[in-house]
Amino acid sequence: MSAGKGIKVIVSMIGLDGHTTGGEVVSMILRDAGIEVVYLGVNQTPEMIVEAAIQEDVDAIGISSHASNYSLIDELIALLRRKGLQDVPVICGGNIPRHDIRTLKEKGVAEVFTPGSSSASIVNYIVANTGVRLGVA
Amino acid sequence: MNAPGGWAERIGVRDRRTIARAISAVENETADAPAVRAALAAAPGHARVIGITGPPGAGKSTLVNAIIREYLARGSRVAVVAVDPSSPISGGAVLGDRLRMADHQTDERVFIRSLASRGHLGGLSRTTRAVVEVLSSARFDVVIVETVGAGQSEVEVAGVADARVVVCPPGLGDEVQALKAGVLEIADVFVVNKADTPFASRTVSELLGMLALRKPAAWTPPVLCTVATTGEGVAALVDVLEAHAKTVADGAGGIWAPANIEFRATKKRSQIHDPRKGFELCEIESEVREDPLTGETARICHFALPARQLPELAWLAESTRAGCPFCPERVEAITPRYPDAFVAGGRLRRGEAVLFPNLFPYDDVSAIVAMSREHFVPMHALPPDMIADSLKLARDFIRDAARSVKGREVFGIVTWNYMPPSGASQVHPHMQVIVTDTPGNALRRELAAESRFLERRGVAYPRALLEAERSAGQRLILEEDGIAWWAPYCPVGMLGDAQAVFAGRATLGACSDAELEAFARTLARMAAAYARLGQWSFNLTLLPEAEGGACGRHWLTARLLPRFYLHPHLHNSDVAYLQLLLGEKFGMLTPEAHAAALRAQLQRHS
Amino acid sequence: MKRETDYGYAIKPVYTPKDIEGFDYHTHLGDPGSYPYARGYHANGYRSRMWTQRMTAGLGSSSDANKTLKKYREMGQRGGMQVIHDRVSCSNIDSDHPLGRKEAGILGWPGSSLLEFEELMDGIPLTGQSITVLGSCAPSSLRLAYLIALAEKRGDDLSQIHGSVMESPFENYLGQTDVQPFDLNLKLFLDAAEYVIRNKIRIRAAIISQHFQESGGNNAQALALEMAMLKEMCGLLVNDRGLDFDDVANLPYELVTVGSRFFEEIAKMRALRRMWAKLAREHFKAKKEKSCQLLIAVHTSGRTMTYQQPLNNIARCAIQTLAGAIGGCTALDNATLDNAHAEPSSLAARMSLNTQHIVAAETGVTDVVDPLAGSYFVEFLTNKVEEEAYKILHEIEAMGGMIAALRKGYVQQILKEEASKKFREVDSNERLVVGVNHLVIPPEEEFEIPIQQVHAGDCESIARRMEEWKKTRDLPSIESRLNRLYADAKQGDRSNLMPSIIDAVKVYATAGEVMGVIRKARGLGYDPLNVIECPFALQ
Repeated sequence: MSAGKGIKVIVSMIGLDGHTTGGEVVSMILRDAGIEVVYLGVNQTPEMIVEAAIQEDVDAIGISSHASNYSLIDELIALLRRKGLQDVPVICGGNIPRHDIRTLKEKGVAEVFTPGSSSASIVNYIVANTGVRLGVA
Repeated sequence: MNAPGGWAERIGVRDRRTIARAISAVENETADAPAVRAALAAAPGHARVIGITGPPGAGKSTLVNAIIREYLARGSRVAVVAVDPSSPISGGAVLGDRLRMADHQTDERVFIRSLASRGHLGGLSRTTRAVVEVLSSARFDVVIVETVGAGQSEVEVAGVADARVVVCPPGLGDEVQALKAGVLEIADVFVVNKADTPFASRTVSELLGMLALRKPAAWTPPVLCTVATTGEGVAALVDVLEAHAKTVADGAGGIWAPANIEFRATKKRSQIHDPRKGFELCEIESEVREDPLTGETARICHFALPARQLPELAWLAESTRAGCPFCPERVEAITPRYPDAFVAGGRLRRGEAVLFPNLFPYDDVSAIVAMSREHFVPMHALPPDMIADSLKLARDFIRDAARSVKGREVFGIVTWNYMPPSGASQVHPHMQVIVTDTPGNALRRELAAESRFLERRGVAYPRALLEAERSAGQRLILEEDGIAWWAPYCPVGMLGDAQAVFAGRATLGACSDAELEAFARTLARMAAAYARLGQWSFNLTLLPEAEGGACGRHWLTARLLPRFYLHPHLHNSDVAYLQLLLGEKFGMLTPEAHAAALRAQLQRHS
Repeated sequence: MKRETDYGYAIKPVYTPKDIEGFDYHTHLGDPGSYPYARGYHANGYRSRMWTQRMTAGLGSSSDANKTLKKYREMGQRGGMQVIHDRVSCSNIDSDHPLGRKEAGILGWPGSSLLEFEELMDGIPLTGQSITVLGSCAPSSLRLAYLIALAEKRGDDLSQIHGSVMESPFENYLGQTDVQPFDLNLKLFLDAAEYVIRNKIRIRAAIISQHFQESGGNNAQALALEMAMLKEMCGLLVNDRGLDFDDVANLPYELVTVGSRFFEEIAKMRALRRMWAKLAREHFKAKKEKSCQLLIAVHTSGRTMTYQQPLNNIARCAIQTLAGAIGGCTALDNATLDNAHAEPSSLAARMSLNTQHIVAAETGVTDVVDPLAGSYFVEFLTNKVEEEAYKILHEIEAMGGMIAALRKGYVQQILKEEASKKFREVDSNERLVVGVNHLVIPPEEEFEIPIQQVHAGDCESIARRMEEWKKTRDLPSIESRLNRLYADAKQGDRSNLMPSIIDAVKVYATAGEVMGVIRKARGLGYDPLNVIECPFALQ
């Protein structure tokens, strides 16, 4: 049950998108897999998300995307690069059309999860693609 | 970045990524942790630590947001450590406190870090302290530690803070009582938030009423009102915190002063030419330790730890079964009954437990609780239900029987001697319950010392001791659901005793069913850990305050002493004269070592 | 596979008269047009008044939306139009706001000013059809002001205009978060509601359970929340604003979601009518029959429109539209087959409107009122969902009502739990969704549908246009009217701000400016996102 032990991720909305239920459900799924989720909520600018990623020293950033607005995600990835966090994968989830998935990945999004993705697939991806902190605890 | 210098330098210039990584290192005890700690020791910093806690719904995070703003306006740099509970099932957590501090997320004078409470063993306060030290070293002026206010974590973390703020939502009313006793007593400042709602003034009165019952001390916690969403009252709160800082600095003595408990020991060295080493000149060390409360001493020497294995006890169980008076087939016929006026029906029952008078009483009221239907219950598998039911029965009996005992102070003392080496005359699990006005020298001395401690220091000794043990860490064994076990600094028994306190509860009568169940669970785990270390017998006594005693000097304490025969054919050891004549206790192993061994057993089998 | 209603009742294979023992037609149902109105409000049903068939529009600039509206008219949307705000104007932020400009015109109409409304309605009459503009509570008062201002400009008789532009403030909590604080939204909502009631304007307020259900809430919860919200809103208007309940009762209408569980959705709508009738008569002591009749608008469920195999959604939408029609509603807008991908393409929009037309014209369903009445199953379900709803409603009332329950976090909690439960049910195949966890096809075999695209450039041009236009306005008039609004807003909750809002809007003050000034008067920052300052001097 605790495949995610030792992993810390951000789950956030971006911009003025106010739909929180998807992000809340995913946060609970990740928690139930043993992951520590820093839940940022709504009205997050790319700057705020990157700052949180730095301060919380997270392994991955999950963006719950409802809108087909990707310019903010572009900004987020560019900012992560500028701040030296290019090793932190950005994962998007939500109603994202297939051709946009390609575009997002070209821009640097690590993975996209569309509606109907199983909880196992999301958890497995995160576990497989984040280095677990070396620790004794 | 392994060299301490690298860390120290970058933390010093407040490189945020480094600070975050340093925090991760101490939080997760990674390979970098020692280098980070060295860097922190080199440049500790002087941050003022403010603890903020309270029940859910009080608006703590919103208040913290407003407090940050106020401190920034006063030119301070502020860091926040926000603690949220981990799921006990999966170990994961949703850390959502940053949500309400969004205003400050990109301000470079602010650093916010979320921390998951991650389970037991007193680790939370150690981790929080380490994280606070990183932020202090990074020269933040104020570090706010926000805890979730549900469960034991907030009391644990309280010791980390210089000033503790307890935030109450309005309309608290009856729930003021429900707030864990621990939380209310640690506060330096009370804040009633959402003060713009109708029930706020009632909550203020409840709190003021409760505070009026306390002993006056150098700092009386004020009750403030705030509306966190608009910032109303927050400037006044920060003013109070500044005043508090000054009071403590002036040496008036905070309510919490863990450093007041001193652990003192004297090393002893015996020089001899040792025949076992070719008559080489050797030094043999031992230690005399002082009990922090009474000043009485105990020696730790000989350090003999024979390899122990749990003996095969089936023969003992079988050979004693036929005549056992506590087994269900015989208990009605063989054991005595109380007069109906005293106990209706003569005996009391709960679950499998049966309470009846002791045929060989120790006092006016001396009862036995036969705990189980089973004749023999192995120490590694004591059922928590069995223990809990027996304790509940004892508790209820004491409450009723205490009325019949004349005397100024009445004590209900419960002892469990498990298996013959501990002095138990029967194999069948049973407890002794004595309700008396003469509790014996040791308890009397202890309570008197606790009264003096409370008078001088303004805090209950068990509370101060628990916090000191948490800080020290090496003797802590297990902490769960409000029950903390540790190995006493100054031992009572030879083989490694353990002690537990019921936080905020003076007698068994003050304990709820749930609290007794929690204790029973921890006791079962402790006994199993001891059993795996090769013990098969123990004495356990629950030492209470006097019935109805509420002056706050004492918490119900459980002492567990493992026992075994030094030699199967001897029933006494020749060190008996040490104990009987000198009243001097004698331990053969250090409390720190045996605490570590028990912790390891528990972790492996949790 | 689970054979349960979404609120956990296990459905039997067969229903018999025993399941509705004690059923009395006149007490429990009544004829259509008779209390308790379970069967509907008109004896002739759709024969006397067809439901308003409409599609939601709103994408790109106001002139783009205007073109879409005209297109829908050609597609048969005559009875009413419905437009939804973009995320920016939902929050009463202007399109040229530094953070707003990145999302202007995406997912909705950038309705931050009267100019935008004028462009939206260019060549479209305000009378002769219902005008519905939705999207969050915060702009309710602004939307009303736009409508009144434009009507005056065009010389239209306000009493001839009908529709809905107000929305209840509870969505802050029900799965769609607002930037504006609840108290402020509530106050302005009440102001707008009071204004239309006192001035006898036939504009309604939507009390919406749609977002709650679209976020995962179940039918019993939805009904309970609807009643709780209605009770709270009507109670406030009667007690706090001193209005007569029979006047207040003309204000609200309920916007419900209709999903694919055919009979359960129909039962839900029948129960809704009955519950409102009881609430109106027994609690509010309604004196008029009309006050016991709650208008119901249906939105077919966007949540059920799958990402995979979107053509399947046409079938789903048809089932849901049929349920909505049989359930009995005054207006219906359906989600489109591409709902999971983007804003509706023309093809998708036409499909949805046609679905309504097919149901209306070809199925015969509109010939009979409440045709499923008397079915043992449907009557049982209607009773059952109502019973479960009352349990939840009583919990909410025990807490002190909807607002108290929200402040306590109760509603948010049940929504979270229900959303998790629904996710788990699909995740574990307890509930089957064709194409998603049942009969899944590989992506290569998917049929590519045309998708409505938005380019970042579009947002920027909307933002830039607003920025430029702002400078060309009569700034002194705006400043003076905003100062008037500021002074009124400082007087606290009892001062109705609608008149001063309307005055400010008439001289083209924008939503951000109007809201910002009101916020300042209440001690909040001008900008809820803390980026910009008030550009006008306020005394």
